[in-house]
Amino acid sequence: MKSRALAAIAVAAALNLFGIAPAGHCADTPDEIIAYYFHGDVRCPTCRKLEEYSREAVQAKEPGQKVEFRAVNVDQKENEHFMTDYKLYTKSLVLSRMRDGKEVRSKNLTKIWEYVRDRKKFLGYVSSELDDFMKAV
Amino acid sequence: MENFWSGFITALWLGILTSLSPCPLATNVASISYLSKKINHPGLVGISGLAYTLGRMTLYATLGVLLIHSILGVPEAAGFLQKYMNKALGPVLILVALILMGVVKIRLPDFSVSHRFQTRLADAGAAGAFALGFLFALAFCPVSAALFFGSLIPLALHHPAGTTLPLVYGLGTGLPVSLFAILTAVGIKSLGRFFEKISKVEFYMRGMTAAVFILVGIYYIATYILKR
Repeated sequence: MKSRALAAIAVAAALNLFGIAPAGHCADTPDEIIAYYFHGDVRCPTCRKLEEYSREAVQAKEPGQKVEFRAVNVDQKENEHFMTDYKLYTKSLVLSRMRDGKEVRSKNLTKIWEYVRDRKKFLGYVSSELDDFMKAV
Repeated sequence: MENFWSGFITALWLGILTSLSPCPLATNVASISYLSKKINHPGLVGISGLAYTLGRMTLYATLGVLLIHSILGVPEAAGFLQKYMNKALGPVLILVALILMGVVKIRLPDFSVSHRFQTRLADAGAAGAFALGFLFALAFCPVSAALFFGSLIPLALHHPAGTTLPLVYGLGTGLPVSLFAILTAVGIKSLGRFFEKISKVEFYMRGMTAAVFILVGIYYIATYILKR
């Protein structure tokens, strides 16, 4: 019995040595970054543009900086909670950092409305916000 | 002191921006056609424009007080108004068109003002214009929600006279529409004078307004009720 436990410790140590963490060991799991675009049932032309530019800005990130883009309809019953969770009042782009299945940080990029008429400014704004968001611990 | 006045100017500018943005275009067209129908009496158009602006100011001021004093939550109010008011707008506009055409008749409540002033208000359609301003202000679209809930309310929360800012914002949303209504009335009047048919044009303006309301009503029903 004792030798089995010792063997398990030895295997775990070896895996750790090669940078392979066993399941359930969360400290080495990278944070997941999600960019949510929240919309409703009715999609106005400006709202479609907001989604298109947001998606473009997120997907333009280097492959090493993995960010997932999710378009969510808050008019659907199961998504209504996002309105109060993020204190939303209109179509919005929210960055969320998930760690071990829990959100540890979020940011609503409220200036997307200011830049929606200028694609270049919009992409630059979202890109720099994403960089800052990903750098922050 | 400078921040005090810049708060008012910003609120007014946000209101003007709301009114000029593309999403309330359909309701603005309906408002202009309703307000400008008394083409022979620019004074009456002015009165109804004022009443329409007051209607908008009343709604924004009420909503502003409820939000600033946290009686209402921003996400709840914004979500409810955007989800349900636009759905209600289509049928209401068609009902208003039926009232304008005389198909449906309603008795307006008496005002506690002098008979002469009351007649003048009724002639201008002031009660209707006020109600229209109030109703259209309730129907938030994505741009107006971003400007009101996202820019004006945070500004009002940090301003010494915060509760008055939604009033100024309401003034900003009503001014361009009222101005366009007066210009439209003057323009149509000149056109009528050119063709020497002013009285006839004013007679048809009521029908024109009803037609615009039906079209805008159909647009709202198609967009917010049927297209889901």
